[in-house]
Amino acid sequence: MTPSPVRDPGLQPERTSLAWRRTLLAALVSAYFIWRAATSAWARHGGRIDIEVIGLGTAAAVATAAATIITASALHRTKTLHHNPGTPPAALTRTTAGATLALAAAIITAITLSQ
Amino acid sequence: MKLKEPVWRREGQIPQTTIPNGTRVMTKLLQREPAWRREGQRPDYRFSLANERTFLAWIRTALAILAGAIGIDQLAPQIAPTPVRITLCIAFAVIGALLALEAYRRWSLQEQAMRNNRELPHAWLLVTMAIIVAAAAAVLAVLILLAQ
Repeated sequence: MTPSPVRDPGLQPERTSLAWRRTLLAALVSAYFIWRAATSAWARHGGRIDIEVIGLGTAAAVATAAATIITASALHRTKTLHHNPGTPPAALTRTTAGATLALAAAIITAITLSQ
Repeated sequence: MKLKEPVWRREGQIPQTTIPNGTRVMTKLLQREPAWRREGQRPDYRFSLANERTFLAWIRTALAILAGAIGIDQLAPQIAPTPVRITLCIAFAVIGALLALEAYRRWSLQEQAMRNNRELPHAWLLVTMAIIVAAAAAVLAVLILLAQ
């Protein structure tokens, strides 16, 4: 007797790549609030560059880097998913969790500075 | 017409040659792996993908809490006196950070349990997060009522 074929060859990878895209959207929303904090502080200071604006600018840069890393991870996983549907590289999940931590650090900085 | 079976379905492994060119650099960057990747047996890919989606769902929860933290700070400055608001928002951000760490730890523990055919680790995180979200909702409700 031949083994029965796998029932859903396409669906599992598809659901997983959709999950990656949703995660990417969530990361962009968090990053947006930090950019908003930085630009509104800059406008409030009449375009003058001071410690607060530099701090918020750094937080915004970190948030951009974190969002870029999550974007790269999501795109990479979506592209390779159909060829390698098994366990993803641990470095990929570790990088995603690390980028989320960096985003958290940027958010704590932004909350502390933008008063 | 018969659809061509993907290589991984026939061989049950990762066909390196079929990975698209553009992703080679990322593949190289991601090659360092923890020791548990060499233990036990490779689980059914459907279970691995389910575990990956669970990880992503926790990461999204962490990101949503982070967005909530800075969102309250940016969009609702009147919700509480400044020191209370900052403390609350930073507490939310710290919870988001811890949740991201926990998401990775749980993903790796569950992957190890599946490889070694062991029982999955206890899901205490569900209870903890339910309590945290309920407490956050209660605190925010009180603050909104007091701010009127």
